[in-house]
Amino acid sequence: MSYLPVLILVVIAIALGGAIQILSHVLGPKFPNPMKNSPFECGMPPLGDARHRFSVRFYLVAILFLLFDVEAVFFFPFAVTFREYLGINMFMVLEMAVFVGILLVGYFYVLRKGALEWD
Amino acid sequence: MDASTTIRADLLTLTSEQAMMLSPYLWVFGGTVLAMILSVTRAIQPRLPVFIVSVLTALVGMVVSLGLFAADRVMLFNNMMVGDSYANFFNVVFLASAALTMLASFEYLDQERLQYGEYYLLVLFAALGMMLMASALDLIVIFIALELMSLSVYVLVGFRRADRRSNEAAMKYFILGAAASAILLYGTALLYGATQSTNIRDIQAFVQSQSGGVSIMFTLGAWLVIVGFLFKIASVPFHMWMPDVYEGAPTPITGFMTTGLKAAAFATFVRIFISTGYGDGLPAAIQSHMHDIIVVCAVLTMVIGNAVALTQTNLKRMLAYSSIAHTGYILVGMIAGQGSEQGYAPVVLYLVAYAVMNMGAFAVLAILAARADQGLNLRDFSGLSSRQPWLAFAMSVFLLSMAGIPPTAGFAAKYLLFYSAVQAHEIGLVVISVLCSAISVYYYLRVLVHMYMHEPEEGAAPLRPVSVWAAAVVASMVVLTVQIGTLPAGMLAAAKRAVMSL
Repeated sequence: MSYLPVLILVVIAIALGGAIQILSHVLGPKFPNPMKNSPFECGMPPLGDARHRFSVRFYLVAILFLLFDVEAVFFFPFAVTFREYLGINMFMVLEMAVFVGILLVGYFYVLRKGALEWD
Repeated sequence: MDASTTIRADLLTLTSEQAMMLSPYLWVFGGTVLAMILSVTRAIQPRLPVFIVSVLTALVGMVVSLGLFAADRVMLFNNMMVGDSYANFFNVVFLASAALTMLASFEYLDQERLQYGEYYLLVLFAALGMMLMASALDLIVIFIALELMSLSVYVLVGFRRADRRSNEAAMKYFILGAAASAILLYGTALLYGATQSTNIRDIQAFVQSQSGGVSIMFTLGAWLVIVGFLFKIASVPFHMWMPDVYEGAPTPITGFMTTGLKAAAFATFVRIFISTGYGDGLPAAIQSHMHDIIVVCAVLTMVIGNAVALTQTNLKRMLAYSSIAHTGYILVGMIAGQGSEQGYAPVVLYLVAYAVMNMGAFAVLAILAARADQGLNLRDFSGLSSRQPWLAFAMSVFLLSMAGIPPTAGFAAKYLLFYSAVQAHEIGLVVISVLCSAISVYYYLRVLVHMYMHEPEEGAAPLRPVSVWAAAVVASMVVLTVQIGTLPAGMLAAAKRAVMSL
């Protein structure tokens, strides 16, 4: 029984969403053009040959983003728990300092190699 | 936050023994980071400083590991790693192989116009991955270390960017290597499912407690892990990548792959193999199972490796197939390890001897290679004895050693390996190994015939003067080859001590 509010919420959400879609379809004015009818995707033409070429720099940016992003994920569990460990010694803090140091060396290397410059 | 979380204070401290055992790893890592910063510092011309720092990092790390060889076993990082004689023994091998590779590369990279600091960094990172691999006791740590090593080597294989063969080799190696890593990881997952642990010691304890045999899930997981390693060592059903990769990679890197990579894969393979399939106190059913798989692989590897090597005319390709054949001999040693008096020591000794002679042979090839790795065909070696008598002599020593002719390291290692197989009552395997070994003499001696009994080719390009670094590498490997061949007892004792610490 405790999940009844969830069920009510789901029903209301579906009803409201459906009602808005149907009402705007029935009542709204329609001025279609080809651009408007195409699905939206980040400003790129969404249809076409999948094998067309694009700049290799996108890969580099994606890899660097992934690298630094995933490394940043490690900060969150550390930030949540490190206070409890401070009572014993500074090991956790030192370890994180080493980790950030390694990250910084990598960042310095990438910066100097010019991987962050687009041109 | 779960209130029942326990804080384990023992994981938050490093004892002085642990810190000491970790020092080679920290040293190599620190040196690599320093070289990395140097390679992008604009104020200095980065070529020579990066080279010197990298070589010193490897050499000093080697000395430190050598000093720790006799130390007692220390468990590290919640039993995920172990610092024992076995790990330190192989650390010395890996770091020596990395240092020699870099020394042999310096001149070669100048010639190929590839003198980038990243080359040395990647060799060091690969060596660090190998060190972690040989000392890891946890399948996940092994996987991460394996990836650190493999990813560095994928890049190094494709380092001659302008060459189509190099690119093809890197791509092939990357795709097949990634598939092998996936298989290894899948096996790890199944082993975890079957035993509730990824720790090798826990898995071993689990298997020992199963007197009635183990579940299908465990068997499948163990198989997949073994297949992953058979791929890395290029045993026969999984060897197809090797000749192309060896041919396409820059020559010193090919040398690095035959020495460091192979030793690392075998060092880890032995550690896993004796704890999950073939060690003391494991059920007989699983042992005979693993035994049969490895026997089939070993026979196929020896026969196919040697048979195909017979027809090769490119020396790098020939040495690649001979490397496959040598993998087969080492697998024979692994099969015999359990039943023989010396245990796995002959395997370790063979790995060292093999590393020494291949390092030397590939250093010679790197010296002789013309621009874009041309000029390594058999006919280019015609009359080498009159053009470069010392290089021809060194190459002869290495080739005779690979063929297993006394008084070289190859003979001593092969003798001990086959003797241990006889002790383990694997007579059939020994007969096949010796026959294959006899076949192999043909293609090794053919190079010697070209070097000493043929006239130089008409219009052969003049050879460059040999650099000091590369000459030092070749000379030290000749000395070591003969030293292990004439007085193998010292090296065997060290190998035995390493194996005893497992």
